[in-house]
This record gives sequence, C-alpha cells and structure tokens, in this order.
Amino acid sequence: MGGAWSPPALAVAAALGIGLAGLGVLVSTIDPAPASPLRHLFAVPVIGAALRFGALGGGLAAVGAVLTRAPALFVHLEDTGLSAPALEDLVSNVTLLLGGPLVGALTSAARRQRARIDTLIAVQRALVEDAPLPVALARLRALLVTRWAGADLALVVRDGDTLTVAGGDGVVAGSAVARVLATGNSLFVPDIGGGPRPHRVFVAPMLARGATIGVLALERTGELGPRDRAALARLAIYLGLALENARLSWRQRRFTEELGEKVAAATRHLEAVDRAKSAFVATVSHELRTPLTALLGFSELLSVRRFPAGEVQRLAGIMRGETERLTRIVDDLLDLSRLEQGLELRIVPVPLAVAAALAAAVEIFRRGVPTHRVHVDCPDGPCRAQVDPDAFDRIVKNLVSNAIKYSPAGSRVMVSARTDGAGLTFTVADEGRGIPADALPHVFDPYYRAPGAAETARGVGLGLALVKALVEAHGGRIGVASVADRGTRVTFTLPAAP
Amino acid sequence: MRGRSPPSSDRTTVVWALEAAVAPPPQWRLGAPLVPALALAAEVGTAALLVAGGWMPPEALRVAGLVALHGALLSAALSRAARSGSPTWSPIGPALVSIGLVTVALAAAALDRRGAVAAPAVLLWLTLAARRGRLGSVGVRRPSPASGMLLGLGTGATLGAHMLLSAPLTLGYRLRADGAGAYLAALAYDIGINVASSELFFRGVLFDHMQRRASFAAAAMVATIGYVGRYLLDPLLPHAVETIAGAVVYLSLLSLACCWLFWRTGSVVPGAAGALTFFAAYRALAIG
Repeated sequence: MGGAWSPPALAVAAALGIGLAGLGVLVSTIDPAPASPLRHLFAVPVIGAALRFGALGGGLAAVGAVLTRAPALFVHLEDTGLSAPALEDLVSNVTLLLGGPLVGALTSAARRQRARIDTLIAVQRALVEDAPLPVALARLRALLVTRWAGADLALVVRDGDTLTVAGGDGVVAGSAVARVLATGNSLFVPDIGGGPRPHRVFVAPMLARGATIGVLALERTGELGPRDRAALARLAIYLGLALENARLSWRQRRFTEELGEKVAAATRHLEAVDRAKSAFVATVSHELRTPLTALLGFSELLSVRRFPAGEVQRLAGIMRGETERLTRIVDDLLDLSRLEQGLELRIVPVPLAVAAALAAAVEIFRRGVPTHRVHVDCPDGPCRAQVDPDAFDRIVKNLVSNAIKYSPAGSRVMVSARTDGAGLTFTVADEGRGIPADALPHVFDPYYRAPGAAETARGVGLGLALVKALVEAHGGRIGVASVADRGTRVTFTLPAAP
Repeated sequence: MRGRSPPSSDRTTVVWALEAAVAPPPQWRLGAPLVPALALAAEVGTAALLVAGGWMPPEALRVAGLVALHGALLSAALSRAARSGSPTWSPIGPALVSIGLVTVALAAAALDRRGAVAAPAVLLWLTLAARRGRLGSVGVRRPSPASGMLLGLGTGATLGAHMLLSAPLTLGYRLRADGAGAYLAALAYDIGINVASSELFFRGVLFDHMQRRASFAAAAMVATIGYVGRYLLDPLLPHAVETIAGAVVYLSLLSLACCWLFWRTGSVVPGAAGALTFFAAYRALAIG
C-alpha cells in the first residue's frame, strides 16, 4: 500500500496519463471515426495501469479512456443514431470500463496472494531458529512491520501467567488488545479520533488448540478494508499455530536434550558400577583365596604330619580365625545381596546396655591389635539402646576395624557414646591420614574404596555400606567427616531404649 | 495487566491498541444550531410572504432559497467545527454572520451582477475563522500539502478542460459571450460561496464523519450522492436530460477526486482548489 504512491509510481501514473491523452489526440487526428481499429490502442494504457496500480488504477485509466473517446462517439450517435459502428465503439468503451477494474482487481488479488505466501514463509523462517519467546516475537514483529508499511504493529502472547509483548511496554486494562485477549473475538476500531485522517485499528486473536494464546494488533492512518482485516485475521491464526508449533518443538528439543543428558549420566553411572563390580570381584577373589589358602595349607599339614597337641591347637586356632573371616565376608555379601534386592535386613531390636556392648566389641581389638590404643567413652549411669545386639556389634567392629586399618601404628582410636534427646549418638574417631574430600560422598557406596585404600589395607568395600544399612534399619543416621592428616570421625545415631 | 516486553529499538512508537482504553464512538449529531436554522426559515418565509404580496419580485424567493441552501451547509460545518474544537467557542455568531454575508452577496448579485463582488466576503470571513484555528476539525488546515494542491488543480483542470472540449461537441454549448463581467461575477460566487460551502459540508462534515465510521468507498459514495444531489437541485442548472447526465458524470468524478484528496491529505483545500478550477471552466460555458 505504501509503495503505490511513491515517486516512481507517480511518475508511471503521470506517464500513463500523458500517454492516454496523447493517444486520444493521435486517434482523433488519424481516424476519429467510431469503430476505428485504433480504438484498441486504448487498452494498452488501461491494462498497464491495471497491472501497475490494481483496480483503482485500471478503473481510472478506463474512465480516462472513455472520457477521451466519448465526445466523438456522442457526436456520432447524434448524427447517425445507434449505427453498427457506434454500437461497436460503445461496446469497446464498456469493455474498457469493465476490463480495466477487473484486470486490476485480479492483479491485486494475485499480488495479495503472493504477499501472503511470502509472509507465511518468512514467518516460518523467523521461527525456525531456536530463540526465547520475547526474541522470537520481536523478530516476527520486525518482519511484519516491513510487510505492512506505514503501520504500527504489536504482538502479544500469553506465556504462562505473564504476557510477552512486542511493540509496547504492556497491555492496559480495557484496551483493544485486552478485550480481544479476554473475548477471543477480533475487534475493529474505524477511527481512534484526534487526527486529521482516520486512524484505524484491528486486533485479531491468535488461536491454538481452541484457545486464544495471543493477539496481533495493527493500526495505521488510512484504509484498513475488509480484505485487509480478513488477511490479518488469517495471519493471526497462522501466527498462533506457528508460535505454538515453535513452542512445542522447543519443548521437544529441550526434552530430547535432557533425556540425552540423563541417559549419558546413567551410562556413566553404570560404567562406574561395572568397573566397581569388576574391582570387587577381583578383590573378593583375593580376599577369599587368602583364608582358603591358609585353610588348605594347614589342613594338608595336619593330614600328612603329626604335630604335638599344642601345635595342633595353635593351627586349629588359625584355621578357626580364617574360617570366621570367610564367614564374615560371605555374611557381608549375603546382606548386600539382600539390600540390592530391596529386602530389609533382619534385625530384632532389644534394650541393650551400651557400655557393656561397646566394651565387648572393642575387646577383641584391644587384645588382638596391640599396635593401636582403643578408648571407649560412655556417659555415667545406665545408658541403653534399642538395637539388635548382633547388628550393633557388627557396626562397632566394622567402624573400629576401619579406624585401625587406616591409621598408623601407635595412634589412638576413640569410641564414644552420648545421649542426645530421644536417641544415642556414637562416634568412632581415628588419627589416620583422613579421606580425600572428593571420596567422602561415596564412602558408604557398596564396592567403593577410596583412592589409595587398597594399598593401605585389605578389604572389599562392603563394610561401610553395610554399616549404613544397619544404622538406617534402626531408624538412625550416619555421617562422616575427615580432615587430611588429622583423622576421620564417623558419627551415627541409634534409638535409645524406652 | 502488564506484560514483559522484549528488547526493542523502536519503542518511540505508541500502539494505541495496547495503551488506551476503548471508548464508544461519539454519537451522530449533524444538525445545525437552532438559531441559524430559525434565521434561515424566517428569511425564506419572509421572502415568500413578500413575493406573494407582490412587494418583491419572484427572483427574491430564488435568492432566499440559495441563501437557505448555503446558509444551512455553512451552519452545519461551523456547528461541527465548534463541537470538535474549543468548548468555549459558540458557532451561532459566526453562522449568523455567514448567513448575513451570503444574503447580502446573493441579493446584491441579483440586483446587479457587479454585486457579486461581495461574495468573496464569505470566504474571507471563513478564512478569518480558519486562521484562528476554528475550522481544523472540518478539514481547513495549514499548511495544505503542495502535492495535494497540484493534484487538486490538475484534476479540476483535466475535468474542466474535458468539459470545455466535449460540451460544445456533444451538447452544443458554446463559450459564453456575455462578457468578462458576467464570467467574473459567476466566478466570484463560486469562489466566495459555492465551493466553500460545498467542500466544507460534503467533505469536511459528511465525508469526514463517514470515513471515521466506514470505509473510504462508502464514505465517498455517500458524499458524492449528496454533492451531486445538491447541484441537481440547483435552479441554475438547465434541466435538459443530456445536461443533467453530463453534470452527473463530471460532478461525480469531481466529488470522488475531492474525497480522495481529502482522504490523502486530511485537508479540504486541495479539493476546493480542484473544484474551483473545474467551476472556472464550467462558468466559461454559456449554460443556464
């Protein structure tokens, strides 16, 4: 619309007008008679104007052509009446009057159709790129402004509870846009008033999935006819669908990316677990072979040689110790297997005197491991926990055993208990080299062994995992804190006996 | 209901649809003020009584009719201008002055064609009102765009030239031979009264009102029907069929062109220039 009256267009219009007048002079000079073959030359500027300026241009040129030819025709009609040549000339004029606007209208319709398709393609292109909604809307608005020259344009889209606006700062209550958002019906305001020329406003809803997801508002000074409004309404519907599709596509891409990230994380985790299990199998094989080798060796010795009674008793003691070690490993494996199957550990909580239980649990270390000093610190007075005695014994022994294994000879291991509200808090602290900070979150994972642990002490990576399971089976909690070269402190809670 | 706006470099634009509450359109009120209407009715009635009593010639009734026509058109335009302009400005006084000046000019011209020199006084009076900004809402604005003026003059000249060429050929009219005085007297009427009242009413009031409620085509059609009808009722126009047909064609084209010029420029001045050019050609013919 805006380009129709640009200087080049006015120059073309002037040329057509001058051509029409010149043609009139030429025809009236050479052959002014009705039905002259030269009359067909008038079709050239008429069709030219129709092709260039549409129905209005074709109509004006046709009127100009007819006005140019009419005087001669009327004179002829007065002189001869409705003769065959006059009739032929009359038909030619009527043809021009009808043909000019018709060709112009068809040309305009074709142009509008092409512009509409171009706009749709451009909209699609603008939404292909992955961009946040405000940016996509600004891009769309800039595109549409170039296609509706001279118009002010705004795009508003609901984005959850907020409105994203392109072309304004917000939507005022009671405004045309607010009304269309509320009703879902398009709104045409023929004139907002206050100007020398009518300023027309049209607001069309953007529809998607049966709901109004936004609006397209266009306003300009000048005509905004029914055809323009219908085109805008269709464009708004298309924009709604395109934006909705873009939004769905964006969500799908995000979902795919998140899924990919989760799959990658799961794969990494599974690979880590697989590596841990491989390491575990190797460790367990090693751990099982050691006592089995001892058992095999000593049992062969006993079967082929005769030993004094005292020596037999010593060897039997060693074999018993290795058998107990094998039993512990197998028990741990069985318990872990139960946990992995989602089964609970079998515990039977009973009131247990804590001081006696702790003393009994650490006694074996006091006697068997003279390199470390194991201290027990219990509160004065009766202190009883509601726990399974075997489970409590395994918890304490596991933790004290770990503390001894990972602390230097001559160091001290502190086992303490204190009442804490309705429960009891136990602490096992050593003076070892500590656990690296990045390993701390994993020390309770099954099969996990901190870096360097294998070089320091034997083990299969099950002890702390089982301790945690046992504590939690009692409704307690367990945590670990460690300072490099200062030691590690494991703290757990258990319920007190009522 | 406020939303968030994306970063934009063109926030100088204010979109009315976002930022202003929708108000119902003003009611249709065309009517001239009561006092000028009563004055016109009294004038026509008095003229009719005087003519019937034989105290004045029948020509007086024709003059009174013309005064009523132009007075009504001008009063309606002034009334609309007052409604849309300053609330303290009353159109009654200017309308009565306009009616008085039209009466004087037409009566003087009826007595002696040299009396038509009084006609431009009406235009001067309207120009004074326009200089005070009183007539902005009926399309009298400064400055008038030069391109619009050229187009108006070109349109009027084209139609006038065509009429000058074709009317002698088809209708047998000749160029007037009663001297330059008669031509200038007729032209003075067009300059001072005819074109001014027609453009102010049919473009500044009727077309402008319609274009703010309907499409250009509908507004132009209504204004053109009224414009053509006003001239067909003019007792000065010969009532031969071919003359009326020619008048309908030319006046329709002229009216459509004036509507289009008003539509494009927002001013009645280019259309008035075109109409004046056309009537300058028309008055050169010995019609009526």
